[in-house]
Amino acid sequence: MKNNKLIFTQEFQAHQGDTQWFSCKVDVSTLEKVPNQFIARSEQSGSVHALCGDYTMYKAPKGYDGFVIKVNKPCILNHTLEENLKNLKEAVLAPPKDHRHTEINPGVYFVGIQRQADPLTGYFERVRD
Amino acid sequence: MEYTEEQKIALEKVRKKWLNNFFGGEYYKNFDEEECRKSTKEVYKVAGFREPIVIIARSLPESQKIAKYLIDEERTKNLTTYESFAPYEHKDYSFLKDVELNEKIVIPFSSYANYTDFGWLAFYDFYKNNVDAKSFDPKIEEINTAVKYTCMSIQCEKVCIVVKYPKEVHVNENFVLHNPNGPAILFEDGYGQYYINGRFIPSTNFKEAFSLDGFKESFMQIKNEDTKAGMLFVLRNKFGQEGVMKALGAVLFNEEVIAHKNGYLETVRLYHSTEKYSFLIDSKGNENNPYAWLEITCPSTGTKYLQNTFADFKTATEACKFHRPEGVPMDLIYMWNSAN
Repeated sequence: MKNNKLIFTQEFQAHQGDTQWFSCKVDVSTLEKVPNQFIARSEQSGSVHALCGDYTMYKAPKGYDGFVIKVNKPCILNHTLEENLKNLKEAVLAPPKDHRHTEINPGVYFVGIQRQADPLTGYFERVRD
Repeated sequence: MEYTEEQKIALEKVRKKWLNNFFGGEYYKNFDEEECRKSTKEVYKVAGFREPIVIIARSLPESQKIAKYLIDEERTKNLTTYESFAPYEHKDYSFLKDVELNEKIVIPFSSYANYTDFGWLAFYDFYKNNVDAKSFDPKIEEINTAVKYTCMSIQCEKVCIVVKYPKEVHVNENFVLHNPNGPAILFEDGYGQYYINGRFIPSTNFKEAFSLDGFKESFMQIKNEDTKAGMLFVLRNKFGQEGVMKALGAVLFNEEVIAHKNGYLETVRLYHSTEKYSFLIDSKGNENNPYAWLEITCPSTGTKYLQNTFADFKTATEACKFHRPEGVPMDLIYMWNSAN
């Protein structure tokens, strides 16, 4: 069985709102490829965190909540309204919604959404006798 | 026996239909008084009894009041025949105005032909239409029809008090009663019950969480953990983190200024409530903690955000590390090359 542990390199770490990026090393051939998609989408505002450009997206290994993304050519991470995007293939700057754009250079990254902690909901999730 | 793909699709459709009958209010919306009386009488016939007088109640407590009224010691002397109960069948509910309920005395509801039959009736519905129609007794249809109009009932020899389905039912993603904005279950006569994630909250306490004034005083006097946790949930839903901070009283626990690689200086703060609460857990699942908040600032807009966190983090940076996506190790430095 192949070791799918990510090695975080600290070379590049970024956040755009509650989406966070960490450069890492992993053999992407061991990962499951998924269609390129929004990193996150807000149902309420219609805004999206969308990586635009030439990249390949993978499901993160077990134990990691997010995606692994191999960026092939410089990409733009936009936070914009979904209607502003024609596709995810072109590294174009879209009108920003709340957060400024982020430039993502070629490399391999682990990308995920900020983890939540709720001491109150944790109480409700406990099994009752 | 393996179901075919078509049967699996049909099974899911039937499941959704039956959930919607109750949670989506289909059976309430499609209530038909005459059909209700007719089908109740059919159930009695199937069981070998004479048709009862059917009295319809709009809620569970109302059905209890009707039963209490009818079994009143003085009144029962005159209620001995089917005919003597008949006047109540089509009465308005004004005769109940002086009936007081004692919560400790509950007149038992029947176990037959009500919402508790949904499980096997849903299976019957699927099986009859998708597997084998012949192997069922047609009398099941009589029960099925009665259940459409009967949430619960008090079945007596001469009288059957039928309770209509609730008008509104609110549940969370696990299908347990849940509504932080009002009653989780509401009946036609206005009677409702309040629940947060399946835990019952007395209406008085639920309503106290709709105001910041005096919240803490009443909150601190409550002993029941479920009630306290539910009240805090309601308060947070209505007033946000700022409301909870104000209601519980929050003090600055730790503040740090972090210099990131792009020159960006980030100020992060941890706040704790002044008291500990038995029902609040920390990151390791230990109970009895203060409520804790992490304050972060959006670098793009300058907007400050308060988010829930755990009280066992000693520094704001430690909390920030924890709040990275699951899988990022805690020993990885908290640092941004780019923050937007």
